[in-house]
Amino acid sequence: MAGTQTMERLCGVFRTVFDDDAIVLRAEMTAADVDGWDSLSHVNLVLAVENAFKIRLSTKDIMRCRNVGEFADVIERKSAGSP
Amino acid sequence: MTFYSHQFFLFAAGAWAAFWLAPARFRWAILLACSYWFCLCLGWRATALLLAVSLASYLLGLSIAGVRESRRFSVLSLGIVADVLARVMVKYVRHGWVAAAGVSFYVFQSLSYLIDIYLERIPAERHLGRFLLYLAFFPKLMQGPIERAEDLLPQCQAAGRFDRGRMIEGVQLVILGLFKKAVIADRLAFLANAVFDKIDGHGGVTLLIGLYAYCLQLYLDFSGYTDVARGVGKLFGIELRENFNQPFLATTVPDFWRRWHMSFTAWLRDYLFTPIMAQLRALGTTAVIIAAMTTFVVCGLWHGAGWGFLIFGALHGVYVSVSLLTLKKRDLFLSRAHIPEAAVLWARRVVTFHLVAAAFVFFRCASLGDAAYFFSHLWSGGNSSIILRTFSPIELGILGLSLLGLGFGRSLRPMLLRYPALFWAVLANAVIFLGIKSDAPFLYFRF
Repeated sequence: MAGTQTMERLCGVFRTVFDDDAIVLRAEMTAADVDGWDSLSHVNLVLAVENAFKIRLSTKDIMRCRNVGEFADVIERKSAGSP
Repeated sequence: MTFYSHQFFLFAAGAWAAFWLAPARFRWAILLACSYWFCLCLGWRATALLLAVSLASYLLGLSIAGVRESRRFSVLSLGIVADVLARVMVKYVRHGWVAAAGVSFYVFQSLSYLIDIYLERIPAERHLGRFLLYLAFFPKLMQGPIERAEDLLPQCQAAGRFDRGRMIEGVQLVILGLFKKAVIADRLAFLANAVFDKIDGHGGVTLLIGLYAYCLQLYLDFSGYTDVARGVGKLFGIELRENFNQPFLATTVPDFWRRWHMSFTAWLRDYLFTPIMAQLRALGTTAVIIAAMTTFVVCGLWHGAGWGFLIFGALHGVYVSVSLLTLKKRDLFLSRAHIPEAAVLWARRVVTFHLVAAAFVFFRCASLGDAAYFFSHLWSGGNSSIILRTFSPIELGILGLSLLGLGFGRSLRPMLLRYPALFWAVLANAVIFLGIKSDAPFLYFRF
């Protein structure tokens, strides 16, 4: 389970990508819960996350995530330097 | 044995009785035996293929989970090649020795199962019987919904808690599905066939009427099938995915694909579109175009090997790319233009429907020549007399009332639910007495 700090930073990235300061992230959220989260903004989101956290996600990482919580877990693991 | 046949009802009733009379721990086995019996009724070759694909997927799933991490991708690739080969052999090699019977649907389930194990989203299933049931479960064998292992496998294991409310829901869904199919879709087919089976000579208005009839027929035929499949699933305590969510109310083409054949499009999104996008994301908008075109060309060719299906897919690839890349700008433009929201909403629905309908022309026409005739004669007069030549006034009344009832179903619900027994009895009688008694197969059966 990702820590609060990661979730907060991730929330900042979401707010920039979706241009909506009201977004509050919860671990179980999916694309259906965020207005405008379509395939195109998904790619922008991944690029923005890689930029913000200075990590590189693999295709497998991206496919594996089913919700925001799993996404945050992958980010945390990658940030800590493990594969 | 189609869903709209006496044999199916006898079969389903027998299976249902055997299932609930059996001790709980053997119920999965009863369901598996019934599913293979159902498949045998479709032909022994179809059954042999189902068994071969199932056994291969079972063993490959175990070995993906069991081998060293560096070897996993090779094993997964082997599984993908085997599945695609099974599908291609049946659909594209026309030697006629392999019957199709649902292969397009269960191959997708096998693929998502193997990929999910590779992604470590699910463990490999060790129980062979339950795994066989995951691919063979008879209500969804022929035309889906395309189920995910994480949803269906646990249900195969737990099968068997009798819930009266769920049984009633199941019966209601079966009645609703048969009503959509037999009372409306098969009746609309007369009109669509009158236009498309011999397209030469029809004028523009007639062609449009035929196209509208076909769009409605295709939707009600396939969503009717899905209702029956989900309803029968509930009778055995198993929940299957929803496949349609009012697709003709979609406001963009990507929105249409989130509402039409949802179990299939979600599959394409998760296992084709997303990985392509992820792999090429550095290319920005070009990645969107490549991913959308690839996904929808595959979607078109999944339906069959023909230029019509290829053009259908490519057209949707173009629609989706353009829509995704311009949506923000269009939204901004419309919000600045101060057009009433309701007008924008309905304009978008009408435009989206007609874009989708235009692509369905290639889906329905027997040849590219017919499709060319359709588009070149769209502005050439014609009239609505074909409706009166096809239907008697009584039949028109049945169609009109049924379509109105379905269209306004959600707002009528509170009124109907005051007399639920009466409502479902009327619907069931409509299926029996007003249903078209041809043995017309469900349209998606041929895919």
